[in-house]
Amino acid sequence: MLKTTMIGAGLLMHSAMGMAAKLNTSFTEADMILQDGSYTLNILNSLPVNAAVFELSLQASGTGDYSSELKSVCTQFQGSECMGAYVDTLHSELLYEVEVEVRCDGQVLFTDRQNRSEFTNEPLASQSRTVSFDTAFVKLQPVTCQSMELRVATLTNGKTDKVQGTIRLSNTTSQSSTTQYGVIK
Amino acid sequence: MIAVPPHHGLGKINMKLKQNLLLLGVLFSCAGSAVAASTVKTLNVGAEPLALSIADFTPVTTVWAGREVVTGYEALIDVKGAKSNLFFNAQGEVGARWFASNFGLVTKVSCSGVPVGMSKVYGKRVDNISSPAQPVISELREGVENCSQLKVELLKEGTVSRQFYTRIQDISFTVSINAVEPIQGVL
Repeated sequence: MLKTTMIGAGLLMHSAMGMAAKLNTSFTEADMILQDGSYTLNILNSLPVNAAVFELSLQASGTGDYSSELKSVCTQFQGSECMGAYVDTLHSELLYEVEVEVRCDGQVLFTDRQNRSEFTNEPLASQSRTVSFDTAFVKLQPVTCQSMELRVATLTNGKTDKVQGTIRLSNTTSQSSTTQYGVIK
Repeated sequence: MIAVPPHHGLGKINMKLKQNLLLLGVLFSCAGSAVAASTVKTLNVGAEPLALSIADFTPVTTVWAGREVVTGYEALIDVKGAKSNLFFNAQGEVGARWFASNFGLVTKVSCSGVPVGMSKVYGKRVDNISSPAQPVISELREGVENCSQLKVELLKEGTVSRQFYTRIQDISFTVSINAVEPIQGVL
């Protein structure tokens, strides 16, 4: 059973219908439930909310799929045939990828993936990487959410250690650091 | 089945036919090599970016459920004028047919077997509009003085069945390489 987390940073502004017109929540991994490698945040305050403007800023840090080995590689191909010499070369490869999903009443409101990768002949000093999500959009048909959930999942065989971010729903693009909004029908 | 002795007339015809088929095979194979060799582009270090289109990429295939599946594409580019420190820049757009335009793509660039960089990006279809995957690789690599052939690999993400249905229809890339002088005084 998922435990629910109350976040104290929200602002509550009730409309005539009794719905909040604004939600502003900051969170870290400490506020979230970790299950099967995914962090989940159940947002309870300021709900239900009715809003057209959605903003998410989130950073996740962790380690990804990593391999580093000396490989014997072909230096010259002709088609699929190796026509050159073979040399030993260090191959270091790293991929850290995170998927973020925001659900409103069970329906996906926003989803995106970000990754950091390395493919190099150098040894990697650190296998830890950070990905950032910075998105802002206006929904032409405002959403009403009775419940909201944010999920942060590490893809491949990686592991996320730190999550921090802010999620905002409102009906104004003023008082925001974001300068460019996407449009969703 | 009746065995035909080699000196029999039919045997001679068979021998002649086999020789002709062998000759045709050799001719076609030579022609194929000539075409492949003539289409390899050359990138000079420090020169303007080189443009690549889908015609410069060769499909990489595997067999799945009795069908030939294109799992990715690769392009080979001759490189002239390499130095020990090179800055590689590759960026492009890869688009799939509309029904398969939600797809993942890993791009890997290596030079004469030395890994240069990779990018994992996604093509998307939102509100009936397809957006291509847009890989970007910008990397400085040391110890690449023997870089004479650049390899650009495009690998479709997912299972073989997913790869089968991801039909790539457009590939456009620009690649450039610039020499970076060794930094003096660094131990």
